[in-house]
Amino acid sequence: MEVAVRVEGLTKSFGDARALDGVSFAIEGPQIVGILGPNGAGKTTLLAILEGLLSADRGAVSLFGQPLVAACYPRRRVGVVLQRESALDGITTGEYAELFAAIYEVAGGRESILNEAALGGRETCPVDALSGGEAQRLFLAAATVHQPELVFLDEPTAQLDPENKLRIGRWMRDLASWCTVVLTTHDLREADAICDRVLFLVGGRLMAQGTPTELLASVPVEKRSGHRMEDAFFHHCACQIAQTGELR
Amino acid sequence: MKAFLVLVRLRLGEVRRSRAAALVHFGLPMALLLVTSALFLDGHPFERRRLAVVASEGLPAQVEARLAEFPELRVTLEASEPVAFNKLTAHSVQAVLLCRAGRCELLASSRDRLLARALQGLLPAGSTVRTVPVDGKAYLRYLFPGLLTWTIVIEGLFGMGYAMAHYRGNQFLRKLATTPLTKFWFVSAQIVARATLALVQIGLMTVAARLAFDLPVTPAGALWLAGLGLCGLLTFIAAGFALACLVRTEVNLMDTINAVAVVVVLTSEFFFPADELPGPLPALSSALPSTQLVRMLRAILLHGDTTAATLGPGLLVLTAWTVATGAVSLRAFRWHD
Repeated sequence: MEVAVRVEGLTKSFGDARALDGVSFAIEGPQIVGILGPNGAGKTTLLAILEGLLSADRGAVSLFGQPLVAACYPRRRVGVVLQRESALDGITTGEYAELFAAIYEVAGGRESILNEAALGGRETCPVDALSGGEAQRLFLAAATVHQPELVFLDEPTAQLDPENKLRIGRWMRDLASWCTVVLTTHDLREADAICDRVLFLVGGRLMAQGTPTELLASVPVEKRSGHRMEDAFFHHCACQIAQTGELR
Repeated sequence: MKAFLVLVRLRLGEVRRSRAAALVHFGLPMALLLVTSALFLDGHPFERRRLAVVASEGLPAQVEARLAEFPELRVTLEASEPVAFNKLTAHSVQAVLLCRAGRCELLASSRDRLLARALQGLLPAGSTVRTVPVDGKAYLRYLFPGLLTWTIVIEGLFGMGYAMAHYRGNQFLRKLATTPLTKFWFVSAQIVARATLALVQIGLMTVAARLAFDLPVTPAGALWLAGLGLCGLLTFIAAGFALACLVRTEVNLMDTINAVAVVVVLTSEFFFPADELPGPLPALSSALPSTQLVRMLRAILLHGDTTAATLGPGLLVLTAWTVATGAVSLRAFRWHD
């Protein structure tokens, strides 16, 4: 498997607040890797650095074996869905799909996005008027219309109903058959269900990483409650959470 | 009732919490008062009457001395009789004095016959006076280039500046930053879209002005208008872009653009000539791209003057502003915070 992302000693501070503290890991693809942690753990900061939107104070990042340089970021090999997506005011679903198909220069991309998002009959509906699940499907389909090798998703299922969570979870599993998906979430059960590999990030520090099974295996039997990922997360991160505050 | 009081207190508290809100509520009215006072310290610029003189052999010394006794009269020299005549019918001057072969002829607007009578008394014996019919729409025609420029200023500052701040605020620019779209293509698309809209606006306004108050538009004038309109638009798009790069939030940018717009409206010859303003204001006004654009549009549309001497300085000022604000934009532009 190719190493899609390699991070070494990544550190980032905002004023006195340290968002990331010496984070190191490598992600091979294709697979789904979940970055888990409570609010303020540094997940979005980490993703922003990997997406080339933010520079690190210290440390090294490489994508597909090449050091990450903002000016020559491999945008055509990467797809991104931000935590807070938006569109131009009043733009319709069809226009949004057309815009991203044009940006990624994908012939027939508009129809492909609409089909992928299951919004075939709603081209004229403004993006603002779509339901949360529909809009998220549109953003995901638009971000992957160019068949990227690596996709960053920042809390892609936050605030979605269970049906849409399931639907997008299945879509991510399909995607991971040929693409490396890196997602952030604080939904531990969802991560357990769809992630091949998980990173626990708390207070800007990487507390543990591995497959869900590996992480659970390190939890003493007497500490297991039956919820695999919760057990693993609290076992590895409990001390740090106690130091940094309540898990939200 | 208690909720009512809390709401009132919270609303009033905005002024204490936000420096921008305090500026809007207290700073802007005071600034407006100060700016208006500075502008009209010597009265309204239109109180001074304007006389254009065309004298190839120079104005007779006796006439020049007599005219100089009246500071309420502003005398300007014109090289061309047709341009001077057009200025008269466009309400840019109230009278024209033609001096050739030792004889003087005064042309006065039909709306300024009293001025003509007064001026006649200052001219050598034998001078003739002719009244030129000028209708009540002359001031509307004078105003039109100002309104066009205002449209261009708004299209540039709001259309580009506010839109950029809005896209940055709702993270759409951040989203685009994650795609292969380059800044060049993004900015170019914005400029082309704005320019197209502005050209349609200018076209509609010009047709309406032609029909409603007989704006004299020739095919050549229309081409000049389109060209200058695009130049001006580019300048104000660059200025709007620079503002959006320097002022980060939508609210603050709106306030800044409003403040800039007030100054531009009052000092850029939209409604009255700026060369009659007190102190250093005429020089400051001349340095503004809006003033130069109004002057050039007025020269082309109303005075029929397309000489390099008239348009050159204006184009130079517009170019300088475009380059300066464009450089600021390129340096300061970020897809996201």
